[in-house]
Amino acid sequence: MIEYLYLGRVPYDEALALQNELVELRRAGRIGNTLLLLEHPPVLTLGRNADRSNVLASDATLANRGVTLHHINRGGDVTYHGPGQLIGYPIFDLRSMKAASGNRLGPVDFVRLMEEALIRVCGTYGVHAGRIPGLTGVWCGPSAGESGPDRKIAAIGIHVSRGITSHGFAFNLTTNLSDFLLINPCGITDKPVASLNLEVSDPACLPALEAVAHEAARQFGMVFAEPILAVESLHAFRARAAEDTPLQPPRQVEQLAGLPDPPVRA
Amino acid sequence: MPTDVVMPQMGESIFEGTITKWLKKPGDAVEKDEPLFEISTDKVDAEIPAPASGILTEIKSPEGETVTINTVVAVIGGSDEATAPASSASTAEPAPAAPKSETPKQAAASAPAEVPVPQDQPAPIVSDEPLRSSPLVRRIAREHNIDLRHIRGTGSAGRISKDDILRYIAEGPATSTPAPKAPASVTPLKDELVPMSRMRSIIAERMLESRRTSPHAYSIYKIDMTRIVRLRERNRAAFEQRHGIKLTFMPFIAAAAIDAVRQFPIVNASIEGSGIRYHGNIHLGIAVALEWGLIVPVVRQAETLSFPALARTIADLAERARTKKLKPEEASGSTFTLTNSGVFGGEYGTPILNQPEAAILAIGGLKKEPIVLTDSEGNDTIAIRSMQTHCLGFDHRIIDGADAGKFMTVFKDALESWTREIV
Repeated sequence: MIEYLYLGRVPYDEALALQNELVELRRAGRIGNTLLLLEHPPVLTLGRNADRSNVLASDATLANRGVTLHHINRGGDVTYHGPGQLIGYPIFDLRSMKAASGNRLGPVDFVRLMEEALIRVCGTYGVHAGRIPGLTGVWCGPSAGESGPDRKIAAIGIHVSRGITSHGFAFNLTTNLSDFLLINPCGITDKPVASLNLEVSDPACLPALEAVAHEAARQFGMVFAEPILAVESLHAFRARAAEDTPLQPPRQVEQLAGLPDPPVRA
Repeated sequence: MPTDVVMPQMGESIFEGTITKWLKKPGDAVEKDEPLFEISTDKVDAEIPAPASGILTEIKSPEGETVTINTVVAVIGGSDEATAPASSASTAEPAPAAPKSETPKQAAASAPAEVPVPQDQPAPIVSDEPLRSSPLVRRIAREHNIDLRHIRGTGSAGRISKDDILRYIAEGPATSTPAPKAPASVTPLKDELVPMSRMRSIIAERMLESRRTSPHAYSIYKIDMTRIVRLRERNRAAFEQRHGIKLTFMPFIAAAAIDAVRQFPIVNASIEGSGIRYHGNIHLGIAVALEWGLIVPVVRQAETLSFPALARTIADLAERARTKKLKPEEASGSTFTLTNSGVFGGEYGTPILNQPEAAILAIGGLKKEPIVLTDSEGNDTIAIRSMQTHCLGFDHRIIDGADAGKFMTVFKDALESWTREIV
């Protein structure tokens, strides 16, 4: 089962701290596979493969526009997050899932499934999207009858630690695409960026970000073949993750009491 | 007991990995599940946990090295091998400061060779071709100062495996005469007996059985597909946008075949005992050739499907056949089969019946040809048209040449005078 939380607009630092908290809870088995869906104020993030020269704007420009910069541990180069962009952070334990073939689900298989879910969300709104081999992310081709390069509508970058995923995807719905001029997105200079409102035939019918978030959660459930459950609030979520009574005394307590180490720890 | 740390598999079709960072050094204590090294690919940064607790005794693959999956990249010695001062010897506590200064630096893989390669005796150069080894073998060669050209590889086309180089290090240059390999630009034919795979032996049995059961006869018709070609060109973009799949020729041919089958139900029949079973539905089999064999996914009740639904079903079945996601019931039960012989570039094929069906239609290659066209006044001109030759294979026990000919005429007319709406 996948539980999901729609958090609205959350500052980047706060979301990062929340992710770290949830990764630990997931590792301890106190929560199940969880999908965070949210929006960020304008921010640039640099991943592990980032080249600082891909940030085209000067520090002064960024400061003037209120755009903050963060170095983080996800894969990938530089990307921009901002209002109108749906952010998804799946905190999944890959060891709890299997690929369709029955084998282990590796991190790259997981990325492919995430792409699949987002491709289907595009399909829900009548937009034909797909993958480009070698370029992770979700891409739209030129419109029928026109020519032109492919455009990236969703960027993906994840971190995996002991089987638990963090970071995830950034899906442009009504993002201000001119903000992407601050960077070479993911280090790519020859392929522009797209957003859903410019791809659908009738932008006025495109629902609000929250509705698209629910649709994304639904498609995650379809693609990962899991029931999907909406959790009302972070408070409710944390309350349910409350620690149970431990099965045995903590090791430090045992040592203080002079008890011998048991051969098997629960 | 030492534990091997191996390169994990990041995805189902990924067979290598690159270590981007070691989080521990040889001599460090590690706990089971503690992050030990990092792999970074395209958009994934993964910390790989240690499989066991103990002291990291050896790193075999340094940062930046790409190795195939399941290669041993490091070794974690059992904690009894640790020369660290015994805190609790049974459980490996990550003792922070003490062990490092006292543990002798374990021989990392960069240690000099222990077996001296005889330098005085010039080893013969076995082969001069480049790239006959993996990065791991080349690294071992660098460390031991070995020229790879002196080693004879036992892999395919003379490839040097890790065993080859380790054997060379242990034994020195090969004493047996290194047989000079035939110039590898021409791979010689191999005389070998390869047992048939299960799928191949089943196909072999079925083909023979089909020929034995039915007397096969063939009716071959050349069909002018120009109208369909133009129709497809005009509508493919709109079709793809609306239905999300590419518009190929297959749904046109399938739809025309279904029309013709409706008018000549004998081609959609089977022999049952001493009677002829006319099937109430057309379950259209679409033969798909895969690397590992043939499979015939079935479009059930094809006569009830609209053109877009037919196209979609065919595309979906073909895709799932290729990715091995078909359910068994989706690959059996056809009453009439289409097979694409033209995809290989020839004119047409002479297919073998998919028992217990009575007919099978082989689609030929689509080619531009000069054709004589007669106009309404009887004047002849030569025009360039897209022609495709289709071949109907049939069971001559219940289908006669006349039936086959009439079926093919209706099929041909359906394609040459296509009027159906498709989008």
